[in-house]
Amino acid sequence: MAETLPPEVSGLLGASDPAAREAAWAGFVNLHSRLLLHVARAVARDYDAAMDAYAYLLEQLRFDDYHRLRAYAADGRSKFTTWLVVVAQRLCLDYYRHRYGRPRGDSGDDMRGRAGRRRLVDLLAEHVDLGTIPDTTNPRPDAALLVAERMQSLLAALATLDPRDSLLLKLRFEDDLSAREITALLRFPTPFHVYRRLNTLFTLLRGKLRGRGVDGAAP
Amino acid sequence: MRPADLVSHLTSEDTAAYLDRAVSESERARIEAHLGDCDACRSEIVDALRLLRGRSSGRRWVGGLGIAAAAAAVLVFVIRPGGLDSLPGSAYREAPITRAAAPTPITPRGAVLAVHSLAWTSVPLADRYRVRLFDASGAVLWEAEVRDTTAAAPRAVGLTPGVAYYWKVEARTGFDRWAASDLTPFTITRSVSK
Repeated sequence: MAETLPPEVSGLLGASDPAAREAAWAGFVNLHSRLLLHVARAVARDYDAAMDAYAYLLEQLRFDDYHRLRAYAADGRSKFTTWLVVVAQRLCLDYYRHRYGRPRGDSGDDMRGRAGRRRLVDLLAEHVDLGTIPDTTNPRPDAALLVAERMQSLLAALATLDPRDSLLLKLRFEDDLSAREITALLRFPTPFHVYRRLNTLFTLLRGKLRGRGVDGAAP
Repeated sequence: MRPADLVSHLTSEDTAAYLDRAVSESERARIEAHLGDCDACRSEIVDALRLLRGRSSGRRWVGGLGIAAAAAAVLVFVIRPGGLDSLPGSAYREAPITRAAAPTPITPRGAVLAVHSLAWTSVPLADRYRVRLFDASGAVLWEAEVRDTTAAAPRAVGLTPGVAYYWKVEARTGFDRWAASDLTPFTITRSVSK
């Protein structure tokens, strides 16, 4: 059990009769509705969908005698608001998936990964000639093959990295997190340490790619 | 990378504890190893981080060779050994998506002493504004359509001090085309509207 359960949660879970529980629930909603709406809006974007998601959130938090809130009470490692954001986000995505078939952005995951890796390939190139930038309107016949080969080489090089380094590259290039955000998430001392680590990894990966006969970025 | 369906995902409690740095070293290593493999959990952590830091989510890299070409063009001028610190992130950004301007709520916002009227910025070519007031559960308490950029506060609603309310305004910019403001919260700190 969490040592310091927020009073609105302990009051709700410890309410002895239905009237007290209803009152505690009203207080809980009043306190956290702004945060829940914020999450619902971030996931749904359009007004009606956001309000539907918000209503679903409230319903699910109440469901089965507040069993989700009880799960937090039993764990209690994080701040309550952090936990509530994670749970609300998960519930909103469930709602979105249930209602529309798949969560917003799912179809872009593979493309995002490919685009991120392609950016990484480009960043690993030390010298780029403008003439080698691919012409997407009239690509060379072998361009796709060369890109695919380099992607394969990059993936092979990435697979040799430490998991934490691999995660760092994904957060930076696939998820577009800023150095400051990565600093917070991966516990680097400062954003400069993130940049330094990225530079070290670039050097390392360039060496690995050269070892595989890959130089330059674009075909 | 392992398919996401074949791995057990992080629990909400693990994710929240990781974000709050409330995990042990061994737990952290386990979670980070999982995040490296599982796009779904990484995406959840990234979105939650952005929500908690007040940054909108969803601005992600989608695109292909166009972005690569832009990046390569930037590299010609920027990349040099040890020079990533000066890499201008904005040069990599996608062009902004343009859309009709939306009205911006001016008052009430946040904590206010009283609500006599609601006011917002005008939108070019808008011929009508629709304003709605909600309670914290999302129920519409009041709705009106006006031509001006202000509306008298709804007396009949009886706004209660200390209770959170929300309002938004939409501008009609064409046939069945409305541009909506953000949902704006406010709370009356002392007296009700008169």
